[in-house]
Amino acid sequence: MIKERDEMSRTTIIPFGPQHPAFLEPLNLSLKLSEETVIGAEINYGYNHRGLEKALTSDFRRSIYMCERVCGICSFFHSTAYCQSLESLFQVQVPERARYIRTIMMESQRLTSHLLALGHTAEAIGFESLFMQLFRERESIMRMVNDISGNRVHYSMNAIGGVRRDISAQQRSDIVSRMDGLEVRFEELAKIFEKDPTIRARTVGKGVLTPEIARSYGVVGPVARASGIAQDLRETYCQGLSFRPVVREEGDAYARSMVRVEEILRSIDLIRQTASELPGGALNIPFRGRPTGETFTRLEAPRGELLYYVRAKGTTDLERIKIKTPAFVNVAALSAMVPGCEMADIPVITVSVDPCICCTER
Amino acid sequence: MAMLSIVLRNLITGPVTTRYPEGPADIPEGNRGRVDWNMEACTLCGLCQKRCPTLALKVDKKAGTITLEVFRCIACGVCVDACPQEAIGMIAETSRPGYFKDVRIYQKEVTEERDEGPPQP
Amino acid sequence: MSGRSNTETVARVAAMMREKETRLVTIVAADEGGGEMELIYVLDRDGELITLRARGRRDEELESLSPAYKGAENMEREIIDLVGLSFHGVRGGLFLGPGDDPPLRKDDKGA
Repeated sequence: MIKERDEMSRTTIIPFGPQHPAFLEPLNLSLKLSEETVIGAEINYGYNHRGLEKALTSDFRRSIYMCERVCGICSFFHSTAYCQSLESLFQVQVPERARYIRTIMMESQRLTSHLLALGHTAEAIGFESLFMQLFRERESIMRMVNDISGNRVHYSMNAIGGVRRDISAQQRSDIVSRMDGLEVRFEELAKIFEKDPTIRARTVGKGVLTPEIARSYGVVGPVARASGIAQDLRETYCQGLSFRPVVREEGDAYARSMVRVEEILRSIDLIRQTASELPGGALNIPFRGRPTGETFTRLEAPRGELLYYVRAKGTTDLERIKIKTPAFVNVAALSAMVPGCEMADIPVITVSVDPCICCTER
Repeated sequence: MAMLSIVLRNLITGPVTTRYPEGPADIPEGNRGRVDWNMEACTLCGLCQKRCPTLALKVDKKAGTITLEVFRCIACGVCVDACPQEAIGMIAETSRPGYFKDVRIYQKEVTEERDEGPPQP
Repeated sequence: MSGRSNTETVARVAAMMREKETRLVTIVAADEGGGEMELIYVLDRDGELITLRARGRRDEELESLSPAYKGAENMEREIIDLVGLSFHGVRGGLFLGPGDDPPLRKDDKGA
């Protein structure tokens, strides 16, 4: 019976993206369809390559600001990873206070990033009112980081050896009270994500990534943690703070969203801890000379592990800089997620991966 | 059901957005916006030019001018931190779009003592 | 088959992955100038970074890790585009169009 149907139906190839109303990223999926079912997908990149790895091999002091512009959503993670790389080349120990301020800013940015991903998931499902609510909460975080750093996206707070801006006592209490308010409001939204029948119908069992396939693609971040791979670099970075990673087993779009939902609550908790325990001391430590040697630095960005490889030979210009972004491996795993699903589920599945083409192509 | 209660609550509370083009924009204080030089305090030392990560500005000591390529400036605030005279400030406003790549020139008023100096020979 | 400058390293990476859960984080390729290149395979095992290196001539075809590990394919394609190396059985064209000059190549004035 099934065989007969297979012979009857013809396969169609439908291009999805790079410009598509339901698709915010410049990425092209060539979907192979048999009737309404996707049987294969080829991912095409290259619409947004900016040659940043080449451009970053210029003056190492100026590159911080270009690193920040690799991605507009995880900008602070890029500049932190870059600064940490150069700090390890200069063998500079960052002051405790600067480390805490970086953690606060990173976790705040993780909140904005996850709220954006969840908002887009809600929008792809067609749940506009939930999307609006999530973006409203996101706006309050954007406002908070703007008050601290002076900008919504590019904080420009990092410097090699520490940070450039301080968090005042008043800002500290503002952060804590904002987090308290956000927690209450977000828990309400989290319940909707968890239980709403519309969301469940559109996400449960869609785009399943089994742990074996997840490992074969080397996926990272919430995508990996939703497939039962417990790896979160924050475990080592947040020493002294209570933190444990969020892991789920299902591996579908629902699990990926729920990992983000729970991570938002963990991040709120982390920000509160760091803001209330903020130690005193200097903001940054000067460095001298020019960098030499090579170093690998890793961070847990909102989408997963971000790795910077920096090699310098004692000149102002860096020899080689390699940025491995989490989206680079996560987006590739899409080709394993989509077969078997229906055409209408493609936007939800792609958004549940949280693709970032800025990061992927640099 | 949970969503319904949020929606009903939103009916009673007012809008969270501002009517920007009609009303004033809601720009937070301390926003890193336009970079502005106070030329009375500026000594034309050139440190801002040296530190600028995007090479957006040029200090001409002879003419006493600072030329800023507005669209190259990323408002990072490095020049503000670097200035020993605290002559550089930032005005909280959003950057405006333009038809041309605008250039802003700040002119240092030539002091009177200097005026008397050179034209002697 | 064998005898490519990174054959041994690729075999070691594949063996390590079979032996215990190991994730390939990235492959860093760097043009060393003078027609030489270096490949660094960065692996994650229990949260520790392990690096395996291979050096060789730049214009020589290299062994691909993609048959053993799917996630390596895009990394190798990126290297083909940006550094201009070539891997056996892997096509470029991930980020750049065909025939574009690899931007991370150093020009060979000295060699």
